[in-house]
Amino acid sequence: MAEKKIVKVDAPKTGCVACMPRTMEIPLGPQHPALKEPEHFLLEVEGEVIVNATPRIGYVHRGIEKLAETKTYSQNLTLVERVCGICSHIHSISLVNATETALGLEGFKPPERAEYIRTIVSELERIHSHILWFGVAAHEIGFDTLFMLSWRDRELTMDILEDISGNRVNYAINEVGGTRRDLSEKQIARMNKYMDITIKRLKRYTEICLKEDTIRLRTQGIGVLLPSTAKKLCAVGPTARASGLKIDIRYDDPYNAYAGPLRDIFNVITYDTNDVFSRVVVRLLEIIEACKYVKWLLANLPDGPVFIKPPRKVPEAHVLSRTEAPRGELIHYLWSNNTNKPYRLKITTPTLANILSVAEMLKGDYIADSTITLASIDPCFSCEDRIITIINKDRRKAKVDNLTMDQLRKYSREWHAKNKRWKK
Amino acid sequence: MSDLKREQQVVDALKSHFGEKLLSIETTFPRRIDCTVKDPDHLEVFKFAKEKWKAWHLIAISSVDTPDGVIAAVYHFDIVPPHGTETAITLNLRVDAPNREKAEITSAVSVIPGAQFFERETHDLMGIYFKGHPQLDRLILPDDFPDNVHPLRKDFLLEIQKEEAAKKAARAARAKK
Amino acid sequence: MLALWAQWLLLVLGILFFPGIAFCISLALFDEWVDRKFYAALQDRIGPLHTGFKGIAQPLADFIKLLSNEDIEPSAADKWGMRIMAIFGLAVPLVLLLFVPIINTTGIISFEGDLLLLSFLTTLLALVIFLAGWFSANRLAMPGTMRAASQLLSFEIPILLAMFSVAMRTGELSVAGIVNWQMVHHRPVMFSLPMFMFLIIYLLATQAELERTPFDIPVAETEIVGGWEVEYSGKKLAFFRLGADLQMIYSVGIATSLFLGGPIGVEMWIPSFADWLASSASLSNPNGILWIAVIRMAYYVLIFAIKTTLLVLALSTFRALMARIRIDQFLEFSWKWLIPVSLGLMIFSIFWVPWLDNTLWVKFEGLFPTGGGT
Repeated sequence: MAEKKIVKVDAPKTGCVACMPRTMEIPLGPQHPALKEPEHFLLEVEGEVIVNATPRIGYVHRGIEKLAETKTYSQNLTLVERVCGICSHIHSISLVNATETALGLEGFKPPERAEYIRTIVSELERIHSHILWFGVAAHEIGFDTLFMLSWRDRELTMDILEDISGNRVNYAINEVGGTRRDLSEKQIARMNKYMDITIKRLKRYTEICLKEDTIRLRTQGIGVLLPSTAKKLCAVGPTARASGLKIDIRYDDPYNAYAGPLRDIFNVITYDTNDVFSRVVVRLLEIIEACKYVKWLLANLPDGPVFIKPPRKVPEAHVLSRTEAPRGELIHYLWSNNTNKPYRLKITTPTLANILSVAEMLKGDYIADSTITLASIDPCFSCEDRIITIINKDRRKAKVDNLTMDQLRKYSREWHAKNKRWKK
Repeated sequence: MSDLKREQQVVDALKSHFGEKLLSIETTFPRRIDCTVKDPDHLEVFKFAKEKWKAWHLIAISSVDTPDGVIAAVYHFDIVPPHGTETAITLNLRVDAPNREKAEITSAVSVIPGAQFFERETHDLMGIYFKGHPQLDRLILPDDFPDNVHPLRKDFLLEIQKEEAAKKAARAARAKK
Repeated sequence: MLALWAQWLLLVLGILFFPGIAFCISLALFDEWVDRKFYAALQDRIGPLHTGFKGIAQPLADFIKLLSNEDIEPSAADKWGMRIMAIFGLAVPLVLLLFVPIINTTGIISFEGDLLLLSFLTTLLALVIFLAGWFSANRLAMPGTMRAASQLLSFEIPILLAMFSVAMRTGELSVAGIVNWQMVHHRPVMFSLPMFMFLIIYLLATQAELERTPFDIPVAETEIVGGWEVEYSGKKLAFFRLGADLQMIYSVGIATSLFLGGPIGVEMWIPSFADWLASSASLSNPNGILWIAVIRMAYYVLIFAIKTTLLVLALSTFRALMARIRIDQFLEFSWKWLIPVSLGLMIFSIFWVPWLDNTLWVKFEGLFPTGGGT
């Protein structure tokens, strides 16, 4: 019988026998339409209510930390940008900051204009990442119109990024010692124009979100993370700020242009309803703030070169570089050893810090809310996993890491010929 | 920012409270303090910081296979949390494991519950066993990965590293000739 | 009078082609295209574009493509159950559509009391969906099935209340009777406050019946991966998809017949036009003029298509404007608001109708040249 296979009857817990729990395990992922990246949550449900959630990550582990030890600093910039497709720039900023801090022991200092340009790109990245998240969140609660419209407005930011860096996703604008590209007057004028439009549109969306009934029905009181729990579980980024904790690395541990006069007008956004709604509002307000910072940075862009040639070898140092990625606090911990390659590079991404919080938030929610709750921390699992593709050669006969595309294709053809049941 | 006054105050406070227990403590960069302690003492540091500065935020746990062949875990801890317009001060608290084969460090989960996943990740990749951790399962590596292989240790070589090592050996052999 | 075999031939042709299966499927695919285009326009997109004129053939192309897709059946599932349910999922809406008056004031099948049969068959549709999910034996289909069952059953009641309120208002228990009532009384049922409210309730419930946003809870893609239809692929999915389109046409078609006067258009108020149309040839009137019959048929189809398409546009606007609500919120909305309100309205309409007919409408009907009234 079909029923026996899927319904798991648990032993009765404490309390009355009449309310004996009949729980069912529902897998959320690794493949799920609501997840952009593979990730597995085993939800234990009673009816429609989740009683327990067990996360399992590691499906997109690519071995980046290990690989970074074999590459030079400028090669590593290209590598760490591939950690995540959405917040790629902030990873390269982190590594560049760590490297330049270590080089600072020998008196190296990057040009100020380059720091401003980096900050501008990172704020633009925050804008597009947050709008992307907003669209996805709207899609999760079934509001496809908002999803389409917000992604239309995201295109403005993507156009700017393409204009100033040449790429839509991995901008590759950083270099140890400065940036690869400078901003022209025409680009600055265009960015100012687009930022004004984005601010206008985002104010409208904020208004909609604060008033629209179905959005409020689906987000208010869902996925509650109390400030005390957030502190206990070390939540970071907008997730913590939506629980009323005033932490933002851009303000608390300023780097690049945030350490300058921008700090005086900086505004840490917090909201105190602790639920998904709160996270929506925090992110929307953050986009508006980010647009303002971009405008401020463009208005106060210092003159000068954007690149100074750095020394080849990085002196021995243990540098902790903290940056605020769109999803929260990002850590690059660099051990340099007086060569041109890092001795050890440790990356910790905000999603890993927040995944414990989300498991906590899921408890007591409805299944219907699980995806929006999960999405509310803006999870980025490829950031989180980074590290393998170490192929256990006994387990799988092929050495996948050395295969070319053609070999891989040939391998798949052979595999399917061998395993006939997959053929039609 | 160039004067490290606030950092020095924190260093002094730690020194006066822990004395000999701190194996080394220094501050090279602004807002960063590097410190080394023996195994269970890191919990005392966390408790002290929690009481004195109301610290709560464990940023991350790094792990390093040092050039001396010591497996070390580095706890990055916001020892002075941000307050008003003041910036935060971060403590890089290094704890060495007693030996490579049985690298054991006391888990910080009892003091900071948020350390759970960081420790599981470190356990997976660097092979540090955290004593007292509630659930030290695989987090990132596949479930059937061999137990005694830890990819981030220096004795684990990638294909590219093996090739490089082979080349180096060949070059050395040629030079000898 | 035509020979009996000719009558039967006409009936079979009517069921198979016009206005039966073939025509209804074309209309359903057309309305899906309208729905998709309009929905896309509301979202600042373009929608289907390349197949046929402005992508008008896209729903058909999708259907054919789905038919040709691989049909995968899980080993744990009840395979015959799944197959039979897919056929039912297409057949039940087709049967339902035979009762809808499209080219005439009566449907292909029409008898006194067919409204009761319709209400039974729509409930059967809910059962089909429930069993379809149940047979597929999937962990994600189960919650979808449960949701579908609770949602469809709780929305049957407002639909039935709306339908039978119209029956009470008109004193007829057949679709054809209600359409004729509107013709005789020179006004659609909708032209009265409680009945208009019932039209809105009916459309709301239809949205839930069709599982469209904000009531697409049983098939919520981002929550339970398509819900009850998760294991259906290839031909079976194509059947269910087409069935859903047909069900949409049926639902708006019944709404048109019950509230908007069915295929009857302006002749409701222009008696000379109505007489001219009545002079056409038909089975009951073999001496009539044949070409008028053709024009009458085309005219009725046009009016019916316009009315249903307008209702489809209303439904897709509703779809674009809201987020999906949760199952508990939905049930709360249904049982705490919609059902009590429709019950109240039903009682209200019982008292309202005599008063309206006796006082208000008599004064009001002077505006129309034909007079009439009860």
